[in-house]
Amino acid sequence: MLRKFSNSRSLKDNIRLGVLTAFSAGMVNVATLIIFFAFASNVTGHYAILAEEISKGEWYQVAVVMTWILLFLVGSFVSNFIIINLNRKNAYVAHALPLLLEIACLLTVGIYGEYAYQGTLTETEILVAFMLFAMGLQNGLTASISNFSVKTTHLTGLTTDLGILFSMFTQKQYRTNAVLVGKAKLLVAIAISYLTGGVAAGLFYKQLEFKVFYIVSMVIVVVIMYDYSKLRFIKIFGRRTRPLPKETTQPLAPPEHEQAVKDVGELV
Amino acid sequence: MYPKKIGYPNSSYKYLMRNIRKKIHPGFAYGGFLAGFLCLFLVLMSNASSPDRLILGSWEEVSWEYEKVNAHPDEKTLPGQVIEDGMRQRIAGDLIIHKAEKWQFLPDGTLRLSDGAAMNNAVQWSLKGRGHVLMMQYDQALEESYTIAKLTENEMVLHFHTDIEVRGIAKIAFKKIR
Repeated sequence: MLRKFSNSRSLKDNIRLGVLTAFSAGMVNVATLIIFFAFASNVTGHYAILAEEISKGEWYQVAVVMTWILLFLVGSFVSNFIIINLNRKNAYVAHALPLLLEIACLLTVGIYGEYAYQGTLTETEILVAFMLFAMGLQNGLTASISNFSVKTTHLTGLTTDLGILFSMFTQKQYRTNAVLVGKAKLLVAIAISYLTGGVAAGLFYKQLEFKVFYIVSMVIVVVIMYDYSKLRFIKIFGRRTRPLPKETTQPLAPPEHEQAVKDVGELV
Repeated sequence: MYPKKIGYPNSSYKYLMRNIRKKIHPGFAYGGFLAGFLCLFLVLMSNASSPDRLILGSWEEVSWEYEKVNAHPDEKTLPGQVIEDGMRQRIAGDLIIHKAEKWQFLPDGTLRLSDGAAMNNAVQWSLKGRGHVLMMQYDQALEESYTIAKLTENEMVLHFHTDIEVRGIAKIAFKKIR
């Protein structure tokens, strides 16, 4: 899920990564909305709110929303910065580190919320900022390693792409195109997973309150451990068994950051 | 040695700027952007009051109006129309703010609601989101939220959804008395 980079990833890799991260993103977004009355990943909405607050001259809110948007951007920046700088040394670590940072953010919010949250506005704003940074990290990672195919918090773009794909499928030549069908499967899987995560968060929150962020952390741990256990398995048993067949590659999008891919090189 | 630019006066300037851009480390550009953002943030924060400070003090209800009405088949209820006392009592009957006319927000998170005479309820208040949602909690069990549509030194406007008799959004306007 995390070891492979860009066009060397298969559709299966992207679906696995997309489903789990979209599930966690859906959970985080709904939990943040229920607890703090603010979205953690709806950056389009935050831009609209920013514009509205500027037009109303509410400068305090302008500063707050601007900072939230910046933190999402910084999260994405940090994520890709780690990937392009650590990829050559250890691809797995480079891809797992942004997720570890995300877990740190989620646990900070969970633990603080459970033991110290007084409900003040400043606390609320700071905790939402943590969530936006975490979502920026996650979205940056998934988009970067999947060559912009997997964006787990960008449902506007996803729904647009699905609309385009479904309209293309009205013609037989596109319906039989494996790449397009694969992309549609990926997008539908992400949408369903995001929705399921959101519903789960809404249900769990009633019982667990801030502990819901521990569950999200566990989902991300699964993403990290999946590849780690696979790597260990290959290391231990790899020499005894015959070499694994090379997985088929099925590029899902044109290599938009081709230069970065060239710089980093093949990882597997 | 740079080639000598002859002819267009702009071209040498562009050439110079391109070279300056090449020599500046991108770290400075990122640092500059963050420093600029920080300055803007501080300027905005120092020139604006936080909603949790603006809301402190005593407020008196001025009016109840229909902000938005989902359905008005008899055309008797229209947006902007004042909600009369009888209707107001029915809408607010099950709410924490029932019969309250004076609201006093205290810094410790307590909100005292009174009708100016005997009634005096104490509930917990907090602001959520970017300061645009007022939450009230009564007795650790009952929780209500109101959207803050406007909050200035002297004026506060709250919106809340109602589905009792009038389906839509009710608007409560307040003026600060202390």
